[in-house]
Amino acid sequence: MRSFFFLIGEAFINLRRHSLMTVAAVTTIAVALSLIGAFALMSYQANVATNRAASEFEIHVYCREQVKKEAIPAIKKRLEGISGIRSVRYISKEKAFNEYAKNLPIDTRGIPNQFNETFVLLLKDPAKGSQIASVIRGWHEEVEEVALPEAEMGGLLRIMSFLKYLGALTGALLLIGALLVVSNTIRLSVFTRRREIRIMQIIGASPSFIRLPLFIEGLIHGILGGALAGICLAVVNHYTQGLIESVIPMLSRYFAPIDMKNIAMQSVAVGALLGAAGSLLSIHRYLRLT
Amino acid sequence: MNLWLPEALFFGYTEDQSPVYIFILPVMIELSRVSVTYKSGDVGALSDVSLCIKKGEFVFLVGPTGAGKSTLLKLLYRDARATEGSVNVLGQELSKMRSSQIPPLRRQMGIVLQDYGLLPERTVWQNVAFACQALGQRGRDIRRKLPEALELVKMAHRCDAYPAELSGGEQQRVAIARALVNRPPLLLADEPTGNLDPNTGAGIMDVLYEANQRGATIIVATHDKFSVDRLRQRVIALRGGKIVRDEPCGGYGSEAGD
Repeated sequence: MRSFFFLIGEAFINLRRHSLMTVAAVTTIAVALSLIGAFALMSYQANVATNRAASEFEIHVYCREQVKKEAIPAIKKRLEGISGIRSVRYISKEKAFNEYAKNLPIDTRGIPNQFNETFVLLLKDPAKGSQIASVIRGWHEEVEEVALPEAEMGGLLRIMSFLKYLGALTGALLLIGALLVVSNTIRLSVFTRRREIRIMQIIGASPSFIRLPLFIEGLIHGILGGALAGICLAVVNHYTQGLIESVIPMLSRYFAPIDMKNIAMQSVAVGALLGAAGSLLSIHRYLRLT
Repeated sequence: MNLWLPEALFFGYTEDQSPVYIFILPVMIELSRVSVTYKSGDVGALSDVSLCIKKGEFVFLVGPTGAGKSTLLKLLYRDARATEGSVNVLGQELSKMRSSQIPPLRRQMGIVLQDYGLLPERTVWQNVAFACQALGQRGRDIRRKLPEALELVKMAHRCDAYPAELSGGEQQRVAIARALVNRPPLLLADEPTGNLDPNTGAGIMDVLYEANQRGATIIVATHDKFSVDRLRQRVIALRGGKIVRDEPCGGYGSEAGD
């Protein structure tokens, strides 16, 4: 325990003594994490936006003519019972005709109402659209036709999955890049310390005793870098959201508000992890006794 | 029991009834048929070296540059590994030693290098204390031990100075204090006076000799002809990786010339 406090003290003394190296490591981690964070936020927003866009797709269910008004609530209930459906809206035959007639008063004069009783469904998950549609198509007694914008939905779904893979791939590459840069920076800071390390080895300090201050240093670098990145992200996010709202107001409804406190905390956590992993990597390679 | 003193065995009585003891000096270091080869060539290599150093001895290693003095010392603190043969230090066989056992081995010896190896951002006191802290010793014990070690090398008055404020000789004294602070039974010094003028070097050798008088076994690799001739201790001369001379009370000799 005594030596544990000594080691933590050593780590902090080292941080101050090698302030240049500390600044280098912290800024490197901050830049790397800001990039990763900005990218993660962007892909999150893209994901949210496509999801919201997809959720605006509607499935129209047209009932057969012989379906009676009394049967409507039962059908509605059955539709609501299907999993994956967010809402069911009923449009009566008369209402549909009236709206149509309102738009085309001359053409519809004297024509009998050919409209069907209609339900408009909104989906929870647009990917399940065609599956749900085929289930409803199976209700031959009541349902005449089910209409859904399959082509548009397919396009959007492809975009979504593309974004998901692109996000995962780029995120992983960025993370590996950041880890390499961070571990290199820490290796440099270990290298500037080689004299001290050599003396410790000569004196007979155990390897863990030599490593722990360096590890703690890496951890602190990571935490500081993460905090800095969190602040950067919060500021940038604040301004870009304002910008989007003022330039393209209709777009902003597709974006989710972001809890920056959470993001900052995650950034610090990832930074700590990055610092720890980076220092472990470089320390392990560097400190070998002959 | 004083670890520093040789064991005395009662042997018998002389004719006038005074007791006779045999003193057995325990073996500190034993090398048998040790060879070290380097891929890069013969510089510093050793071939078929055997030697025995007993507790309490003061040994000078002399020889031209590249004769293998440093390699021999490095073998002893396991900074180099024997290609062949066995190296036994403080009762441990180093050629079979795992790297995890190196730190405990080095805690039993003090190592002094030519370039002093002091940490520039720490004071004299902190530098010497570092050797204790790195071994996890208590602050109270450290405060008790340090003055003694600094007194031995006559640096107690400069304990708040930084290495940059000291002369080369003073820095080397601090390095010796750091090597001796944990009272190791063995002290290895690789050209401790290499960077110093003859007078200062003599002072350093005197400090080492003083430590030897207190019981430490001391091995010094050196080019310091003046001190070797003055102190008249055991001299082992190396040339081309072989021992060419091993005298109990030798001088610097002529082999060491380049």
